Amino acid sequence: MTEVVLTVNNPVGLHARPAKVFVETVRAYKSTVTIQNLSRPQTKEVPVTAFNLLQIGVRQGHQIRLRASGEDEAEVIAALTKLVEENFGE
Amino acid sequence: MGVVLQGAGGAAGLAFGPAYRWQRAAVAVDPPHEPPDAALARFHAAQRAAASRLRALAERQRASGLREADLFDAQALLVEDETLTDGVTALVLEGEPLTQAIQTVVAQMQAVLAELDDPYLRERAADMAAVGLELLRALAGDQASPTIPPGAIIVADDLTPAETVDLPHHVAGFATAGGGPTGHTIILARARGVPAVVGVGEAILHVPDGTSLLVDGDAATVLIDPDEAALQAAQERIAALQAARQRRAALRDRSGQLRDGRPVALWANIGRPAEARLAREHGAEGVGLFRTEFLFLDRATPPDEDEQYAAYRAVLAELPDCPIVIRTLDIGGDKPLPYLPLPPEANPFLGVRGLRLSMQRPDLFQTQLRALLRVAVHGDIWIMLPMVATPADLAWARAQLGEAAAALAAAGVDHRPDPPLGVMIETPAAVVLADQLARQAAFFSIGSNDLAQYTLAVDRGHATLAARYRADDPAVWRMIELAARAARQAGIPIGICGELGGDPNAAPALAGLGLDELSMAPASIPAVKERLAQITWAEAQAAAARALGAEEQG
Repeated sequence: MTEVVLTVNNPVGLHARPAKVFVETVRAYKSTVTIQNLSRPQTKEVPVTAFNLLQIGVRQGHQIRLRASGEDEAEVIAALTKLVEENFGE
Repeated sequence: MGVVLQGAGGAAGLAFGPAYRWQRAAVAVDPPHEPPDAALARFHAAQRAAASRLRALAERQRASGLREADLFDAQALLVEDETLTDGVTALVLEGEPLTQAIQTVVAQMQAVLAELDDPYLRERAADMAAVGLELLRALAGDQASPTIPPGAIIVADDLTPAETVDLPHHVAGFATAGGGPTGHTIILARARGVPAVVGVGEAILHVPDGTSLLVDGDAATVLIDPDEAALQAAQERIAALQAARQRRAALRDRSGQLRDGRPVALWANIGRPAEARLAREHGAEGVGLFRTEFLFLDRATPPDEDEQYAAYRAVLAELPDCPIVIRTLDIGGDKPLPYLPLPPEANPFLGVRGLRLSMQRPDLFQTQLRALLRVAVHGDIWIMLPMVATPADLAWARAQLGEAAAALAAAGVDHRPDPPLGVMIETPAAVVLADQLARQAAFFSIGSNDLAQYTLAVDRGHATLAARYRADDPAVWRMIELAARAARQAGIPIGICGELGGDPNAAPALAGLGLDELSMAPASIPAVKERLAQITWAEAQAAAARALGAEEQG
């Protein structure tokens, strides 16, 4: 399992276009990826889907933990890290 | 006697007309005793149909240059969401009829969102509801849409974003019982320019069809059966708004100028070829910024020369006799591309971006320059370089341009070797050395967003410092003044393509500093044009002097 903790800094958080890019990136890999919003302690760790991203409500400044397991787990985490760190190109 | 209903939010404008109760088409009836596999096959077909309808709506919105397009993409994603699919599949396998299964699961998902502690996210429950309605609509198949009389005020329980954009253009306005001030429905109404009020409450639904309604989007109120006085006041306001629109429309085909005739050209910023039409419709005299990033984003490999050529050519086709300023790729560590691995940077805004990326990837830059030189044969193409800090940056780019021209010449490809090569002024270094840059550059364009950010040393997206970011800070005005003076001395044109350029309140001072051209979102052009036509050159200069010394007024 590969794991990373990131801070989301783009203005809309993980909603709208960033959410779309995020989900599509996960779908492009074989590994299962889960996400937890550490800044909302009451939310659970959930698989990355469009609806789950809505319900864990990641806003600007929130910390998220991503966990991937599967044959390309390192690659998918690297790709997602890049998206988040580069603010989804906003 | 009129009754006033207060709504939760509105889309600006006034509309008066007869109420027309809009109803959603009836939900399809499931075949009795449908086997689960047949029901699931219908479900998957409905998912595909709804997703493709939503994606088509996204494309349509995008083609008209509307930002809200992303919303439909997001909903398309939810239509095919795993939580929804798994939930519906489980219920259908347990023997629940399909329509009911969809309604149950969507309601559960909606409830999850509605319980969140964040008002913004609670409103996203409406997205989920819209997704459910889109699915049910797809399940029912195509149905004749009701004939809505022209000039009617639509009264509805709620409208999904897709339903909002599907309303015929002859609708005068709408009022919905549900909906909130930041919901997508109201945002879309604003984008379409339809007066509307949302969140009015159930009472509106009891108004009989044909009742006179006055929708006041500015006050977010609906007046039922307005009396003579209210109607007259409203009609005066409607007339004043229409007069303003007509005044501006009358200016459409006139070139931008001050009251005493001093020209200030009004150009458009566009991000896709399709937006060139929008620019023309709003009376743009040129394109002051054509961002080329769209060609490079959301794909696995960079666009080739022919694809770029076709995109640039498409803008020329729409605006054949206008100058078109095309900015070379302006991407950096903050805009990731799969085929452009950039190492993470501690501070992307001070890192490899704009022209600096082109310096690291001259292959990409050459492809773009070749496409630009080929297009330049067919129209007035200007090439603009982003993120130039020093004269050496510009000299490097000029050498690259020479190289591209030589390669095309050697290959016998038709091209223009020497289109104007200019600099986007967005770093303090470029301002301070503007006199040197002006001797080498064919034109300047102020990138006021980044210039303000770098000058004030404030990230405009910063959670607590954003208020310190002001593109109209005197420090930024002085930067613009320095660049304008250098341009004037060197005899090259200077424009602006940042957001400040589209602010009617900033227009007098920008003109007063001697800017030749203001470039802005197409929709901003009419108001700026009108503002400029109201002032003289002396008044513009006085506005500039005030802007430069604004701190003295506290």
